[in-house]
Amino acid sequence: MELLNTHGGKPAASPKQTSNNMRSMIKNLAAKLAMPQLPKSAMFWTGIGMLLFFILVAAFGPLFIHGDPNAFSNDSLAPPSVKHLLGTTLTGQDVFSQLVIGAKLTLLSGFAAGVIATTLSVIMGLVSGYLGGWADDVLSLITNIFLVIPGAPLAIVLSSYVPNTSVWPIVFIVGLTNWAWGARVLRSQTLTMRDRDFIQASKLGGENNFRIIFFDIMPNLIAIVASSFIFTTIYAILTEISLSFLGLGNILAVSWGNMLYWAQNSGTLLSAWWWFLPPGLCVALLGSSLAFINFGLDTIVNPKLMMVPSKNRGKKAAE
Amino acid sequence: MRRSIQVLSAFALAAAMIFAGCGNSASSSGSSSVLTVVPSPAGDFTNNFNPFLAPPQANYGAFGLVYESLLQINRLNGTIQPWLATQYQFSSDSKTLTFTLRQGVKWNDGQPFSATDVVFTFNLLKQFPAIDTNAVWKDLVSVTNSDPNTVVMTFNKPGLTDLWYIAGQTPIVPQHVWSSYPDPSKVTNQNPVGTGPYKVGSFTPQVFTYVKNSNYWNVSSIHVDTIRYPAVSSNTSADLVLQTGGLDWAGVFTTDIQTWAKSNANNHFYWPASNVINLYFNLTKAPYNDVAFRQAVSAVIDRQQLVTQGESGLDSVANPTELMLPAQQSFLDSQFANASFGSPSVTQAQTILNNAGYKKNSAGQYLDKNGNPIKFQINVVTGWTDWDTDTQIMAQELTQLGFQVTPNVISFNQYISSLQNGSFDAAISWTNPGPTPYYLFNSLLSSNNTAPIGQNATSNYWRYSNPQADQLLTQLATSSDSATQQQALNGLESIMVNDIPVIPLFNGAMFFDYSTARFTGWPTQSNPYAAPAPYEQPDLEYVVLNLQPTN
Amino acid sequence: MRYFIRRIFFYVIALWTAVTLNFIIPRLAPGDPVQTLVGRSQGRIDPRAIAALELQFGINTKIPEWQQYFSYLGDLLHGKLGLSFEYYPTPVSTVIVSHVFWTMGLIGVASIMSFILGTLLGVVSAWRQGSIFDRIVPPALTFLSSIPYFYLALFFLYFLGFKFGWFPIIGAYSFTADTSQFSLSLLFDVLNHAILPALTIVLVSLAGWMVGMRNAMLNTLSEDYVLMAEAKGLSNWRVMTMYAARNAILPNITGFALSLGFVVGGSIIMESVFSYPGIGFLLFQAVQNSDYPLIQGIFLVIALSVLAANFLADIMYLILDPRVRY
Repeated sequence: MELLNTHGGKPAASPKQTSNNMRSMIKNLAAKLAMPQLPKSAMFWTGIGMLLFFILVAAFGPLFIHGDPNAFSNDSLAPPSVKHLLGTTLTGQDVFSQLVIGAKLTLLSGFAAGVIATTLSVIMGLVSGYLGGWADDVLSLITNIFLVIPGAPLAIVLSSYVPNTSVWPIVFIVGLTNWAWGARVLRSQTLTMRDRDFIQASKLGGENNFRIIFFDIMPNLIAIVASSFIFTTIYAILTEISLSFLGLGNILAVSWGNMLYWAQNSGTLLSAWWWFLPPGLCVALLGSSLAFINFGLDTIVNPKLMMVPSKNRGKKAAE
Repeated sequence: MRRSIQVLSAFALAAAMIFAGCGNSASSSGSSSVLTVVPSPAGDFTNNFNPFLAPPQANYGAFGLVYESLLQINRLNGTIQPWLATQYQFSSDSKTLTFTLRQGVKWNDGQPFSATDVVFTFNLLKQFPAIDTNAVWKDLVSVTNSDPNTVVMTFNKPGLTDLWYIAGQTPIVPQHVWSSYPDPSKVTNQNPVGTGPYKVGSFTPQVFTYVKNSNYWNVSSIHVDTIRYPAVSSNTSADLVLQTGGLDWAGVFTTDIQTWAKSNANNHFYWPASNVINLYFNLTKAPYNDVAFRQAVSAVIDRQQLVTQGESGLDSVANPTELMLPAQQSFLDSQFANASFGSPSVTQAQTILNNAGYKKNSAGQYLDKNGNPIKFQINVVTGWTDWDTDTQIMAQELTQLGFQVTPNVISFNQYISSLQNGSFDAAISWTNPGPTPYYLFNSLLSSNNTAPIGQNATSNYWRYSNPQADQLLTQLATSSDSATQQQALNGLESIMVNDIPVIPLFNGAMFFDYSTARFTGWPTQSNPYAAPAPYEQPDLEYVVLNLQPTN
Repeated sequence: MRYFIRRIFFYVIALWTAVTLNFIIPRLAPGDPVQTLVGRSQGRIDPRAIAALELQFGINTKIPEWQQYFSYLGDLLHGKLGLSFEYYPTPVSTVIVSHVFWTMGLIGVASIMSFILGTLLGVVSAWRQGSIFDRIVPPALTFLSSIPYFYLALFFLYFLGFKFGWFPIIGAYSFTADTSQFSLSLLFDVLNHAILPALTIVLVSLAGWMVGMRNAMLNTLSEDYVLMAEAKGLSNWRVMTMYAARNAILPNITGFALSLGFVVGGSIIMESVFSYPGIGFLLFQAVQNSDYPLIQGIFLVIALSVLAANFLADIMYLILDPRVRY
């Protein structure tokens, strides 16, 4: 959880003024979404580059793979060659094809779980923090309860029940059990914003709560939302991979987790490195790319965290 | 900082004192022979030696090493060894069974064993149906002893097929211990008092041992001093331990067993056929209830490919009669002496379907009698990776023939409940064999073991119902004449070959991996004196008593 | 006072939710445990056993659900968790007790090690912001933390354990060990078996603590009292430890208290890779075998330990940060 910067910062930027006018509000939102202060950190850009690579592979890779990645052949456990770039599995399936095709499902399921969790945490956190009173009490209670429900064991128990003919049940389980932390962080941030002048101004101007929450407050928290989204995505990818590895997903689907599952179950970990090594490495690289991006986002939220030498330590208190 | 160093050194001092106090660990005894066994990677143990509970509820060996049966019946070929009973005798109508008990047998607490213990045991099963796991009281009427060495049992019908359950699969327990248990199904029985060659030595959830019982009635046959069971939680772990040479006897499936066997001259495996794996169709539905449909399916499946790719070449192609050869060779009808599945043929399958009136649509898909493309799923359990692969292979082959077939990989719970209540189209599954082919055919074909769709069937999940088969099964179960029995078997084998109620795929193996580094005398293909897998109770006892340390 | 009432109300509701969820979950499952047991034996248990086993487990009863719910609550109040199906008739509590120790020992110690090491690295990284150390160590550890647990574990198991034979490959102690009494060699044996699993946990979780501490520390470094201390000419060491780190560690400690609650449940994969006799693997096995009473028991233990850890964190906050009281 600590990858998410939970204890620092104030919102990214505090607009000096705001208008009730819808157009300028959208402009404001657009400006925030464009993240004018993109991080200068090399780590951030490395992460973006790696992530883009994986997204491209997932999106366009399948165009270059012909045939069913699950198709059997008589080339059992063939080492890497021109014909099979990353060798074959025990049943003669092409590892490279599986790796490329598998990227899509792994990425898609990770992001989908991230979207579910982030949507929930934004709604719960912002609404609860802005409204206060009994609504806050109830929503906070729900959030705190979800925070203490042990997600991993629950996911394992539930995923063994649901019909595992697709990856989506796991996505929903992971999404539904991992929004609470983000909601808590967003709530506390919303609390600090609630009494700001520009929010008060919107209120007096007759804006409805929905608009204030999602058009005035949220743009200011967008870096935290993004950070929370990325964190959940990493967690979702790792959880999905782990559940697949335990054989709790749809084991015939082509994903990195399933490749590891079959490799491990074939008892050929030592003899057929080309089967076991690539999917694990890809997961690690994908996970790090997201984590690196998160580092960058942390520095938007809190510029003090930059990995630049501070010549005179402690004198950077700019605000 | 200084404070923490003080704390640290105080801790070190305390630790040193604790260690000093416990320094004198017992020196290990030198030359005693220890047999290390992993029957099945089922995780940690609980302290439970109740022989009426099947492992892993109770621990392996409770039935066999500690508690014994009246006879040792080889479940692979049906040979019978006298054990706690030296003789058994059926009456001419087969409704009365008399056992003569071995004399001089003692419980491991020194008390004498007698016929009252046997009578007590069977009455215990009657009183507590929860431990009557073989349902012997379905057929039994009474169990009495006429003298201390004779037990007489009477049945409500000929009891020939019950011998296996009564004498081979029922552990005999001492009255003087078990009469004080309020409910024998809820007893963990941590200090078991049995007649067998071993007693419990030590127990932890990670490892437990059996040690030699010097009161044993055949003590001169015991050459293994200690038997050790380490807990192993997965096939992969078991494989690793096996490879490092830590085990003498294992019942572990691993695809690279051949590599292991080649890596050391002492490593061996002998995996006899012990089960037939079939493709089952729901016979209450069209077109699966059509023999021609099943013949076509059977003709197109490449069984050799299933064995090679799915089963890593470690199983053998099944026989069309469903008999497991070579162990059951003697039961084979001579007209099927050379029966085998031919090489798979799409054209042959198409001819069968065309002759039966099946039509194809423009997309090349076969249509059922209502004109809809024939489309079904084959159920298989997720994580049973060999069967998962088999199912994928079969689905590909059947799709090529012109059906729309997909594997349906589901959790075990979903799988078994759909089989039971009949809400499936097709599934790959096992059989329930016994020491003679009767048991397998009975569970497979008897209409007594089935139920209407929506209700739970006992074992005939495919809902096969054929009065002729029922009559043949009754003939086989009630006759003590071997010619009449063979006649019934021939009839059942014909049904298997001609009616194809289920589609035999391959013979499932019994997993038996062993090392001759420390012990010899194991069952082999040429000397299959017992079911060799360490998870078969009470057969494991017979194997252990045949072992000799090498040094 | 209002704070206390709210927290206690929260714990009551959370406890009730956990207990109720625990009741519902097994009942969502398809199939029944007797069939699972018979089926899993693949013919080794005769189908004739089904009736007997149903009697043993007391299933297929016709008691209405609400009645089952209340008798379940009643049993819980008396500490009765029922009998495990898989290990029938051993009580669930016995099964759990024999496993929970190993998980607490292994994962607990590894988590503490990871926390201490990660926090120290975070302090150093923040103090030397922008140095080579700060530029290399956090990304490297982040890469490690992105590797799935089981992948690293299998790597260690196959190479360090199996191929090179440096470490044991299964269990919490070797099966030749004499466990009848405590001895130095037994202790070393146990430690030896814990090295690889512990190493995996530490390596994978280190980055979280490190980055958390680094971020918190960078915030405190710009606080007035730190600037003041530096201006007073106090030694670097003193400023770093007594002023900056001491105040920065507060949120990290609460995070740690929370994470301790997840120790019990967070070890499922680790334990199944190393055949470690802990509660995580026990849960996985129970799930596979539809051992409802055991699943319920383990889930309850995990939920309770998370709540207990939260309670501990609350108290710690109360002690360390007096502002909370108002």
